[in-house]
Amino acid sequence: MTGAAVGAAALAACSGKTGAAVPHGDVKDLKLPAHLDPSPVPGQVVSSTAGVPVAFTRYPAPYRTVTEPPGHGGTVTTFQITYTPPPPANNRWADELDKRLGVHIKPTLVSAADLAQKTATVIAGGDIPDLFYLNTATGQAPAAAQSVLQGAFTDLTEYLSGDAVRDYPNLALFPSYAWKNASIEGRIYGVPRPEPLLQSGIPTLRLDWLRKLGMTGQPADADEMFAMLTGFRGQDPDGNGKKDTWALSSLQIYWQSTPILNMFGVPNNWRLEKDGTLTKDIETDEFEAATEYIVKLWKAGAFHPNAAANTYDQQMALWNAGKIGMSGAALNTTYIPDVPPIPGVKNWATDLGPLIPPGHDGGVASLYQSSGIFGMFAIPAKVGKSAKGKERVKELLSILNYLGAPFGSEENTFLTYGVEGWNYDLTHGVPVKSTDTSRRAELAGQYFCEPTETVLYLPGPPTMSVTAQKQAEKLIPHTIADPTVNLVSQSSVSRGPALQQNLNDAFVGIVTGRKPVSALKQLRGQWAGQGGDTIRREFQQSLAKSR
Amino acid sequence: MYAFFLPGVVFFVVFAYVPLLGNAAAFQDYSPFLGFRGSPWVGLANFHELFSDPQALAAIRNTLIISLLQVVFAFPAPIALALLLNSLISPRIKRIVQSIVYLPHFIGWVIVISIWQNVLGDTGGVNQLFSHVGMSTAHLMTDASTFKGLLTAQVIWKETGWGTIIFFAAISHISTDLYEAAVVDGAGPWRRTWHITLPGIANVIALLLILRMGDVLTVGFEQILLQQNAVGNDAAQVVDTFVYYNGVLGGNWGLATAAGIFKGVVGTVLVVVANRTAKRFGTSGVF
Amino acid sequence: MAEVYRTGRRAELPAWRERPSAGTQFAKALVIAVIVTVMLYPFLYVVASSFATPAAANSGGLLPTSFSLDAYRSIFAGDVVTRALLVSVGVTVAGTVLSVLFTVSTAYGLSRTKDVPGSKAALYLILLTMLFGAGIIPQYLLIRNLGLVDSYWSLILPGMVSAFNLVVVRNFFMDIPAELLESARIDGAGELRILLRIVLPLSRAVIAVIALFYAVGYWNNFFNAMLYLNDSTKWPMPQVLNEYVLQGGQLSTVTDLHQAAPPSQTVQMAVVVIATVPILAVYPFAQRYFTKGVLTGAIKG
Repeated sequence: MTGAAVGAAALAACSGKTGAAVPHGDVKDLKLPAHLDPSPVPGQVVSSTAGVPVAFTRYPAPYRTVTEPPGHGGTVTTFQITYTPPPPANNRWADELDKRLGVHIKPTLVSAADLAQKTATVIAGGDIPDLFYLNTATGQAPAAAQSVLQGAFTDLTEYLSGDAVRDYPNLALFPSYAWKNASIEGRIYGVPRPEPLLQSGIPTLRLDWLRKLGMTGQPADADEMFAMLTGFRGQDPDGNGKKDTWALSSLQIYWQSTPILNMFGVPNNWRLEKDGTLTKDIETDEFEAATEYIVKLWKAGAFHPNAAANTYDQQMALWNAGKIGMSGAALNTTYIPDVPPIPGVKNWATDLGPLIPPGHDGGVASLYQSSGIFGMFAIPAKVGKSAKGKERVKELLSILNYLGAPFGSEENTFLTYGVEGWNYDLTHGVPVKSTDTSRRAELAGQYFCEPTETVLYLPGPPTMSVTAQKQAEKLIPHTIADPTVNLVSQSSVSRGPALQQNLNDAFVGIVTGRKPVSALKQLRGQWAGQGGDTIRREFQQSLAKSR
Repeated sequence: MYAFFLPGVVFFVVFAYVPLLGNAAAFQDYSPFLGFRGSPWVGLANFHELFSDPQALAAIRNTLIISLLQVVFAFPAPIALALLLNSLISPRIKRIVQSIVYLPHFIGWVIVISIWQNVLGDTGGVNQLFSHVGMSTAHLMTDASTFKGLLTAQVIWKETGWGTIIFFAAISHISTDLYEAAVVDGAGPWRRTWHITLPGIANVIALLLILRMGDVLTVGFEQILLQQNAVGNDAAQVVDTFVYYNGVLGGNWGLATAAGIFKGVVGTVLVVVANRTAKRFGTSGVF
Repeated sequence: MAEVYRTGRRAELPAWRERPSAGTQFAKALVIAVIVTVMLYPFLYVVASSFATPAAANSGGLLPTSFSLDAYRSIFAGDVVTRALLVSVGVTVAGTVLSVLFTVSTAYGLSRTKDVPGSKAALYLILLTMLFGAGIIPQYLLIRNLGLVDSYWSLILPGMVSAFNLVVVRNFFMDIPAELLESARIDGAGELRILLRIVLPLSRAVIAVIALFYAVGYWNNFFNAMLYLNDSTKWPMPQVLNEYVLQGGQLSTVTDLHQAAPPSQTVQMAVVVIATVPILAVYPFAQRYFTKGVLTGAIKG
């Protein structure tokens, strides 16, 4: 398997541990929105395996999915997350967006760091914007789920469930898992931003370093993995004659450790036992084995010495300086075009690729399935209850239908890249973003429910995406889901962050030698006593209801 | 006189006391959507939850130790530096040094800590020097046992220069007549500092120390949060980080508010005690 | 002796001050050289990184040495940063003027708690606000109900008077010899006249200090902008800066990535420089008021 092929496997991945500690409803009575197959587009390859992303062998020739502006004039207020500097006041992209949608979009842009606070204050203030980005994943704004259950948002089930979604054909293309995992207590409150199911545990690897160590392929078992990770420290993979490289830049219970947990078969957050009880990942023997392995890695120097405290920026700086063999982040469509030059990496397509963890005994690793969504757009309850409520809700859903246009469509290209000749240029049929920072910043408000991240498209050799899709077809059957993804536990929301922090703290303490491995037993007891057992009970009750 | 202070009082009533009503959330299971009127009342449950967690007590202990270290070492640092700079003869050098030492105040903690790591971290400049001369790596930034000292050193480094400003203002208020008289009496520079300058700024020192007491349960949140993972909760969990994980992240507004009230009560008691003590020592105190 | 210091190198030394011994001078010079080096280093590092090429900035040395203006070019492309700087300057100037006015007036009003019934209670009321704070939700609700969301006033009003600064100023006012004020009162001067003609001239240093505190506070405050300004075109500098720097500088418990490559280190450092240098320029103005023995001149002159 070539590096490029494997590279593409993780293409759509936004890596990371899935946020699962959140009430996602029991889906017993919910009829999910119908799922339609995408209409044929040249270059589009649809897999027959459920959950496997659609691949593209080329950037699609622009095609339209929406014929007339979905809005009927007036203003639509939005509450959106943003990851870029704020947009300029004179914004061609925003003007064009208004024209295309037929309404004036008045956004409130919130950076990821402020999302939880801003979500709470805006909900408390009572003037919830018409399209409200709701992300109840751990680390985002989990407490907002409470407001949903208390009736802050319009129940969209009747508008979207079953065949009703056919009124919004672009939304009907969304993968079913996204709708399922976005539902709360069996109701639909928002249009999800869909993501791939397979996105954690396959970080980017320096394949050129792998070759320097004399390895011909990915590590095949725990010993080879160990040899590789410690070789990145001890065998001078960058060949500068100094011992100044490491395998890993971050030490946390998940994130860069996830492939190791996968290798030992640690459950994805929880394991559902045959008797219907739940076992937390840290309570398993597999977790203990993985921890012991990571302790050995630490002792052998595979981790950067400041790994426990490195911020994401510091991790990226080390990676970009060519000091680290494995980045926590997976290769993905948004990362690749912006990869800064890394010393030693001559061609990213052959020198970078994902690490596919093996089973510890040489078998297959159990990769984690993620929730497959990153937040959703909800509509406030006030809008639904007003005199022309139904009309307005339908108008807003039509707008979301426009924003959710499939990858490569004319609408999606506009939302992702902007106005042709201004924000981007087409080079050999492939959109290339303007290098002008200000023109790039015009798109600060672009983060909606577009399904761009769910597809496999690599601006490289045409076969890469298909090889990657085949890779995904092989891997996806071995992924394990978090059994609590659709269950409700209020304690998990309120106690979860503190328990998680304690777990991470103890894990880091054990790995760095502040605590013995035997402290794990004590930790399990503490976790259970301080809220873990309550969370377990609440999830199990919720589970019993949904079966 | 009323015309002078009434607008100020109105300001505090509107912008401080009206939002303070929100502290009712300490006795509620507060939900932003239901609001203060709609959220259920839970009595003292939030306080109970706060104090029943063994980590809370550890956090309070850590906070108090760090606060004590800072009062003992970080608080006097700007006074010492101000006196040192005041003893310089050339106003030009004095001015240049002043405007250099206050620079670190303007750099955010994220950058400050990454710079410290560049210098003192395991792979930093100091350790590179150590390894050149054959010494083993010193874990200056990641040692739990010295972490509280590290925090104090960082605060001294970042805030000492900025802290001198207020003392310069105080020193400039001291009448030069006093110095002239002292010289006539044959007092040297040390005795003048001890008998004129220090007493001259004693009121300001007392004032700042009393006010510092009100913040005894508040120690650099961002500074600690950024370094907590490296040294562990046992050494680095403080009240504010505890509340962050247990209250803020999980949307537990009631618990977070309860913690704020607890901090306020402790601070009030200490301020009152400190104020009495300061008055007994002959300074004017705060009130 | 109204002017204690005169210009000219030798004459700077007041008559009563002796030259320290060579040993003392050397020791002082050494201590100060060390302090200056240690304090200056981070700032040099930030400035040098902002002018470095991305590769040099990432190489992790003690000071990057290459030179490139790319970071600044990319930040000043378009009007976002320029506009944010203007907003920050406006808010800082207007806010500082208002803050100083209200603080001085309130502090003076409360400086004679023994003579003015009720003022002691007002002082307690104000002091308590230093000890008990309100959460972000009630603060937001207040600003919202006052109709100030998306108004620049929301950046000024919530922190317009700081109890800390107020107490500091009051403390300095109370240090002014009572006889001075008494004699003015006997001469028939009103309170406003006493404040303007006697108290203020004697308190230039402390007013310069709190003006500096307020200015820096307004300049650096991003929190109010984050909470109260939904319209990103109104954001002041620190809130814009946050979008550049904090995104990737978030705490190390990153578990999800939903962004393209973060801004390079050089861009982040350039943003820090742009956001810091204007406020640094204020200090020398304040500093001028620290160096005079104000009371001497006033009492004698």
